[in-house]
Order: sequence, then C-alpha cells, then structure tokens
Amino acid sequence: MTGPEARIPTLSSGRRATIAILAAIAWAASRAGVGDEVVNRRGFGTFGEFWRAVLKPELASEFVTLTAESAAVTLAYAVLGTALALVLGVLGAPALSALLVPRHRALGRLFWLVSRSILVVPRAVHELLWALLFIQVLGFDPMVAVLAIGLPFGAVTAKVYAETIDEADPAPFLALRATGASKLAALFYGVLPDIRGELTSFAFYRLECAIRSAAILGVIGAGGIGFQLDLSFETLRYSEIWTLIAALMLLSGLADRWSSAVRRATGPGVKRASFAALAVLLPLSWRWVTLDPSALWSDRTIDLGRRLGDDLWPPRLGPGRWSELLGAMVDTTAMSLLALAIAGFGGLAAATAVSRPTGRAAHNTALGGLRRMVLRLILLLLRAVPAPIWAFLMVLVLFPGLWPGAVALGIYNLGVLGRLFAEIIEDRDTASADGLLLTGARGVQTLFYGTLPTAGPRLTSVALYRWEVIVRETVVVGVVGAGGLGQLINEHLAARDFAAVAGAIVALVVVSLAIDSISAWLRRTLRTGSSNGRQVAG
Amino acid sequence: MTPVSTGRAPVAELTAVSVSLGDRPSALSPILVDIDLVIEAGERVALVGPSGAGKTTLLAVLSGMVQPVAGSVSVLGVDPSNLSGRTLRAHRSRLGIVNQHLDMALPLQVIHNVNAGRLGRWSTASSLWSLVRAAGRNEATEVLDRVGLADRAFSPTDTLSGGERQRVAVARVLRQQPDLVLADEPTSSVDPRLADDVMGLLCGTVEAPSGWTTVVSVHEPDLARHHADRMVGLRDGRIVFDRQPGEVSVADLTDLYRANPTDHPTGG
Amino acid sequence: MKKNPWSASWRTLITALVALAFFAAACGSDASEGEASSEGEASNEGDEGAAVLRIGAIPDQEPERLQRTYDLLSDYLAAELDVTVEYVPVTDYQGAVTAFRVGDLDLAWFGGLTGVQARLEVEGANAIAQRDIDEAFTSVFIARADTGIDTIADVAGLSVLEGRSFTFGSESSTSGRLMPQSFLAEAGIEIDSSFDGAPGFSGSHDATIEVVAAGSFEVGALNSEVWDSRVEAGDVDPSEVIEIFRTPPYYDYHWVSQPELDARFGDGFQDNVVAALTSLDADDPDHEAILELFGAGSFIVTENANYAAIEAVGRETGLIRS
Repeated sequence: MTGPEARIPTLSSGRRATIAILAAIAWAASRAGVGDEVVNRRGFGTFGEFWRAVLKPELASEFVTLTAESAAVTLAYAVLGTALALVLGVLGAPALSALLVPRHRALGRLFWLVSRSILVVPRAVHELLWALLFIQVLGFDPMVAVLAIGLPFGAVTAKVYAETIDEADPAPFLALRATGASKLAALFYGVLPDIRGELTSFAFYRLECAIRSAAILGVIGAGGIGFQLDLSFETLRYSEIWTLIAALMLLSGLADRWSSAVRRATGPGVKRASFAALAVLLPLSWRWVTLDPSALWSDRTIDLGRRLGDDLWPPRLGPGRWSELLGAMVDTTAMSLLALAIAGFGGLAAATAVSRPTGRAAHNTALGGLRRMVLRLILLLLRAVPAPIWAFLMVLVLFPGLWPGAVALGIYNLGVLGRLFAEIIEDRDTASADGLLLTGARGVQTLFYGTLPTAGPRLTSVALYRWEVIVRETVVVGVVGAGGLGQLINEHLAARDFAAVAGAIVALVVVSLAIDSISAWLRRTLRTGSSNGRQVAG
Repeated sequence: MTPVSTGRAPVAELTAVSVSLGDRPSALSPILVDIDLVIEAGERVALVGPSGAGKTTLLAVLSGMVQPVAGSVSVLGVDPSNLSGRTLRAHRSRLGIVNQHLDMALPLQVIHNVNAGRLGRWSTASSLWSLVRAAGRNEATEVLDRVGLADRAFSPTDTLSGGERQRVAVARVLRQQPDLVLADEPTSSVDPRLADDVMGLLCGTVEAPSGWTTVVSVHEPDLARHHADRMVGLRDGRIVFDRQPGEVSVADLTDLYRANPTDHPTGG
Repeated sequence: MKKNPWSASWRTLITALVALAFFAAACGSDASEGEASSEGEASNEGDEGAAVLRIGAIPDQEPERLQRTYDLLSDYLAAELDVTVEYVPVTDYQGAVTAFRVGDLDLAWFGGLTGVQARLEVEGANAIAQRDIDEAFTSVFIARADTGIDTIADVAGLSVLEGRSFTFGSESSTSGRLMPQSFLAEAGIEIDSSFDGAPGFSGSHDATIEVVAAGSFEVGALNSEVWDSRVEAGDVDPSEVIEIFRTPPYYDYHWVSQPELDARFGDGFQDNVVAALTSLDADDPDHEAILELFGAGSFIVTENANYAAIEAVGRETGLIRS
C-alpha cells in the first residue's frame, strides 16, 4: 500500500481491501487489549447460573400470561413502527430517486443532496436514542416506540426504495413519459410493477428487524418483553428471563420465517396472505397499545418539544472536552470492527453448518437434519436476546473495557448474519459445489472451492452492510460501561446535559457516515455491490 | 431532394437537423447529418436503412427525447424543446410511441398496459385509481378486440407470447388515438405474418383509416413497400432517397444496404 | 406459460396502502375530536372531575417490592386525600426524572441527586418529605475478600483504592455513585485516572454486589440500606464479598411534588400530602407495613435547602451541569 503500484502488480485491489480489513481488525483488538486481562474466570459462576436456569424457566401461569401480553405489546410496536416506516418510505422514495428527480441539472442535484442529507440523520441514530429523545417530549407514551422505530426505518426504506427504483429498467418509464404520462403515473405503470417483489421483500424484512428493535426499546421503559426482561435482570431472576427469552425467540423466529417466506415466495399466495395478515394486525396493534397520535400535537408536546430543542441546541462538548469525545469515537469504531469480525467469521461458520445441502449430489441424513435444527435454534437465541442483555452477561466473564460490548454485539449479530448467510448459501447456484461433490470432495472442501467463490461476494456485501448497522448498535451496549460513544451518551444523560448528548450524537453520526463510506468503498473495490446485499442488511 | 408535398399543413418539419454524440456537431461522431424532412398529415412514412443508419435517432428527435445540436425541429406545430410542464405533457399525449423493446411493465395486466396509452390525458390520481379498478374497460376491450386479444384483457402481460405482447403495444397506441405515431422497428421480433398485421394496424391500412400520421422504421423493405405511402432511405445519418414506394428501385435498396468497404458491415 | 405471481397482489398492495392512509386519517381525526376516548390520560390540565394523583419512584429496589410498597401507599393516600392515586412504574433513574419533567408524575420519590435534577428541570417543584433515615444516609464500599483490602478507617483512607478496578451502580444514583465519587475525590482519587481501567456502572445496587462477587471488579460502592438488608437476608457470602468502608452521612431520598398541585387538586392539597406522609405511624398496624417496606421509622418534613450540599457535590462531579 506504500510502494509504487507498478512494482507489485500481483496485489489486486480486492486483495488489498482484504488486507486492509484484517489490519483494521487487528488494530481494534490491540486497542481493546489481548491476553490474560480479557477473560475473568471467577465470573463463570454467575454466568453458569444463568445458563443452568434454561432448564427451569418460570412457568407460573401469572408469569406466562404476563409474558404473552408483553409479547403482544412488542409485536404491536413492531407492526405499527413498520407501517409508519413504509408510509414514510413510500412517500420519500420518489423524491430520492434519480429517475424522478434527475440530477443532471443543478436544481435537481441540490434537491437530491439536501434530501439525502436530511435522511442521513434518522438512519445514523439508533432507535434507542430516538426513543430517549422522544420520551423527553411525549413522556411514557406508546407513540414513543412507534416513532422511534418508524422514523429511522422510514429513512432506510426511502433510501432502499429509491435505489431499487433507480436500478430498474427505465425504458418503460421513459416511453410512457414520451407519450405525456406524469412522472407518478409513469412510475406506477412503468416501474413499480417490475420491482414490487423486491419492495415487498424489504417491507417484511423491516418487520423482522422491527421486532428486534421493539424488544430493545422495552429496556428504556416502553413496555413489552424488553421491559420485563429488564425488570427480571435487575434482580437476576434467571428463570423468568428464560421464559421471556423463549417468548422472544418464538416471536423473532416467526417473524424471520415470515420474512424469509415472503422473500423466497414464487407464487402470489404468500405475499397476498402476508399483506392481509398485516392489514389485520395493524388495527389490532393500534388498539392493544391504545395508540393516540393526538399526543403529537397537544400543547404539552409542543411546549416540551420546544424545551428539548432549546436543551439540545447548540450541541456542545462534555466536561471531558475533545480528548474524551475523540477517544470515544475511536473506541466505538474499534468496538464495531471487533463485533463485525466475530459476527462475520462466526456467522460464516454457523451458516455453512446450518444450511441445507442443496443440489443433486448432496447427502441428506436425518442426523444432519437434527444437527442443523439445533444450530438454527442457537442462532435464533443469539439474535432474539437483546444486545444489552448479552452485554451484561459478558461483563460477568470478561474484564471491563471494549471486549464485553464488542463480544455482546458480535454474538447478537452473529445470530443475524448466520441466518442471512445460510439463506444466501442455500439460494446460490449449486452447480460448482455439485461438481466437486461428484468428484468425491468433502463438505469442507466444497466450501472453499465451490460455495465461497459463488456466494462469497454476496456474503461480503451483506457483512459490510451489517457493519453500518453495528456501528449504530454500539450505543445500546454503552449502558454497561462498554465504552465508546454509547457510554458517553449515557453519562451525559445521567447529568441531564442534553447539549452534550447532542454533541455526542453528532459525533456518532460522523462515525456512522465515515463507516458508511468506507463500507461502500470496500464493496466497490471488492466488486460486490449487489442490490441483494442491501435488501437484507439495511 | 424535394420532399413530397400533398398541400396540407405539415405534421413534422425538420430543417438542417444534425445530431452527434457530443454537444457540438462533430465529424467524429455524427449520428444524423443535415436532415431536411417534411411530413404531412396522414402520411405513412417508412424509414429504411441498415442498422446504425440513424433511424432510431431520427424517431427520437421527432419524439423530443433527443435534441439536435443544429437545425430546427417542429412537431405538431411546435418545437418540443421549447415546451415544459403541462404544455409538454399535452404535446406528448398526442404522440404514440412503439419501440422495438415494447417498454411496458410485464407484470401488469394487459388492460393496464393498454390504458397506459391514456396516461397523458388522465390525471395522476385517476391513473393510480385505475390500477385498483380498471377504467375505460369498454374502450380497452374494443381495441384489444381489434388486435385479437379481447379475451386476454385481465391476463398478466408476461403470460403472453412475444407476438401477443407486440399486439398489446399496438393496442396501447390504438387506445391512445395520437396524432403522430412513431414506431421503431415494431416488427423486429415477430413472424412475417404477424409483422404484416402489426404494420397494417399502425399504418391504418387495415380496417378503418386511423386518422393519424405514422413514421415507422422497418428492416424489411417489402413491408415498407406494402404499407407505407412514402419511403425514406437513411444511411450513415443522411437521407439518401425519399420517394413513393413505387419509385424505389431494387438498385436503390441494394445501394442502401451494401456493406461499407471502409467499415465493418453494419447489417442488412 | 407460467402463471404470473404478481397479478392480484399488486392490487392488494395498492388497496392496502390506500386503506392504511384512510385508516390513519380516520384514527387521527377520531382522537382529536373525541377526547373522551382517551381515558384519564389527558387529565393533566384542569380536568378537575377525574383528578388522578400519579406517583412514581426511582427503581432502587426490585420491581415487585416497589409495586407492593406503592400499591399500599397509593391506597393509603387515596383514602387520606380523597383522590384517585395511580402508581406509574419506571425502570431507570433518568426515566423517573424524565417522567417528572414531562408531568407524567405528580409526586415522585427521588434520590438526592435525581431529586435535585428534577427540581432544576421543573421550576417551582418542591422537596416536601423524607424518611427519618434520609437525614443521615450512608453508602458502603465493598470489596472481594481475596483482594486483601483492609477495613478503611476514614475518608482519607480511601486512597488505598488507587490502582484497583472499581464499579458504581446506576450513573444517577446518589448513594451508588454521586457521594462515593465525591468521597473518593476527597481522598485524592480521580475516577477517570486513578483506577485500573475506567469505572464500571453496574446499573443497580444488587448488580454491584453481583459483579464484585463475580470478580469483574475488585471494589464497588452502594446504598448501605440495600447492603444491610442483603447481608441480613443471607444473600451475601462473606467469604466472597466484604464491607470495607461506610461513608459519613448525607441527605438522600425524598419526595418531590409538582408545583401546581394546589391549583389542580384544591387549596392546601400539598400540605395535606405532607401531613398524610408524616402521620404514618409505626405503631399503627395499618401503617407499619408501609413504613417497613420503605425501611423507615417515619416520614419527616424536608425542604429544598437540605439538598444544597448534594447540588454542590453534583456540580463538582459534573453530574449537575445546568
């Protein structure tokens, strides 16, 4: 990377990018510290106690009822949040699309730059932070959770939908425009029919993500399973925790299944039924959490909103000044890299182990089927338990510092990536692996000679998109002293210093944007920028 | 080169029109060079010539999609590049477009792709509502009947064969009732018999006269001879002849499609 | 020819979107016109008829115990004051301050620090009552037995903790963070630089005991009342965790009320609240359970001025910045 390029022509840009990623991970590990000071053996007692409780979940009927009711609240938040996100996404996407607002003219370009920058902020700020801000204005109102999910998800949806529109074949659109159709009519008659499959898949992927978000939001008192988990965790009642985790796994597993089914559906039945189900769930959810949007424009809200605005603006540095803020930014970056490494490599290993052998030459045995089912359940467990809970467990067995947060985020995202990877591996073209199996190659060998070369680019792309998500998630593990900007924000919140909170959020947005561009650059360099990666990772 | 004149007001008039890849006329990348062309109302003009001769670009100039670097354009009495917003939409709604690649959304039901011909005259709201409950069913069924697809109105377009899709594209134009039809190789992907039908419908030589003016680019000179009342031969971006079909000789066509000695053969 | 998978679902999608829009619009207008539909929630301003006194507390105890405590107290206050009393559970310290800030709580049980923060954010709010023990509250420092740290005699002795790993409880806790940090500073220990690594924030008093017992941190600080009750209940293994220091006393927990209680509930209402709280009598069998759950002998009157010292410490430590 330093020498003249002409002298080392063998090092392709892809290989250089790979070396850069590995070097960055090594740097992050050294910043977090390696060696004896990482694992705390004495903590395994409590840690083990937690795991042993899996065998005796709390099954008292009162608690089971409470769990079911909380699960319904979590689901309701997810459904309402997703609905809001879809409305915002559908309204916002045309404005962001190059097809509808061409960028070759100065005005169009300016409009695009402005609307894109406006949408960057809701995406860069995690749902949990949105909720913490909305709560200052709305109090403990269900609208907080719906807005906290709907706003950032709406921004992502608008961006992804706009990109999907722009990647579609523009010819029918242009032909309709040539006969005088308005832009919107030409969009509906010429573009959307071709891409609605992708749009629907993404909508249901959002629902899946929204369930995980809704569970985290509960932790700050928004109700639902996250709320109950937090209560049980404060008093270390592991039996209750496992009952709640089982409910979250059920909810999350069903949502994952649903989202996968929609993504892979070939017939009209699944998608039609899915929309019908959503149409039924929406009013039910509304009632269940007694949503009342009028809270948004009540006098109290306007008053408190103005006050929060005054408190937040202008953002400023905390008492630790620049050194504290910059240190936290670097820590956040390091933590996200370590988490990405754990999630990426772990997810790959898990995915190869859980994906069904496909293709003509594969052996399918009952034992293999059972093993895969157990592994899938473990992956589901990893992603169904909110990251802050993982973080608390990690604090027990790892010494304080960056590692507990990084490992917590890593294993949580391992659950997410493992499943997405498995889906990609199962859906890939199996011909090359088939050929290898027929020549007598073992499974592991086909992994490196067949599977990775065909599915590799998409896997990398999905992992890099996930990195952007992980950066935002670092704030949710900040609560256990995991370091980085999350902890800093928590500290400023404890001091009720909203201007400093705003300052730290600005720093977080900066880190997020930097990592977004690095990730985009890497995807380009590795020539893996597939729309499919974006579809499932945003 | 005197254009044929029937004494009526011209539908389209190109004067000294040049198009090149860059912004300025360039010797390196000319696509159209110094085109003079007057098309009168009701004429059925066939553009013939080898691939790369500039037929598609000439049609794009007429539709306003491509702006010339030199010369003046007047289509239906206006220069499209001077229009914008509502007036542009109104102008465009009078143009019927059929492209080689059909350019329609295949997952949509046939009736919506036919109704797409009316989008220039419908408000956006009624266009969208029509996707929920199809408007103008009678009219759409009637034009589908004329192309022999009346029973497929509610089939998704991608369940139709290539030839049937081509007829849907024609039905869209019939539904639109434009003043000027601009068709770019509408027969390139269909069998000869169907090609004859499609040309007949577009040029109004079957059934009742369509009442519109047609400019159509075709590959096979015989189709042009049969359906058009004027043939314009294009080669290397220039008009090499402009006559009534009866006056176009075999030698003219041989010359038009001859392989270029200095360049790779470009088709024909 | 394969059947198109998308023919009818396209229509379904548009219909669903249109329906969604109508639904949202309909619900919006319903809610704004028919105030009656939102029961009790909107009773914040001037809704005399259905006045509900909402009380809440920082979650410094296990949730069930809090629920039991405040259910009993709510019944008592409802009877004494002749209003409906509702207990609003909150999961974290800052959540309680926020609920008070936005007006979701009329009367809140705060720690020293959170009480001051709440009053700084709600102009005119008052500290009105506290427990007898809150006049002289203390924190304890605990350590893993195998660290070899001896009992510390006075505040200056805390300097031996230099180089140890250390955890607080909640960031906003007075006894689990603010006062320990202040005493540490007195002994010359700066939390950002003197410890082995950055200090942890376990989240709660119980969690502090847990993570010190687990060895994640060598030393921790927490509320002495919680510590004493855990030791008494036998939840702490003395071979694992020991108490090494008990701090000098300071003012801690107290009730804070919203400024306009009298305007909303009638003249003299705030005084009646104070009277109801202070007349809880340990000798009265009905009151005994409440006081016991609060860990108090009685409630006494307090005033804002009692927390000037806490506020000063809060400013020194950067936990009060406004």
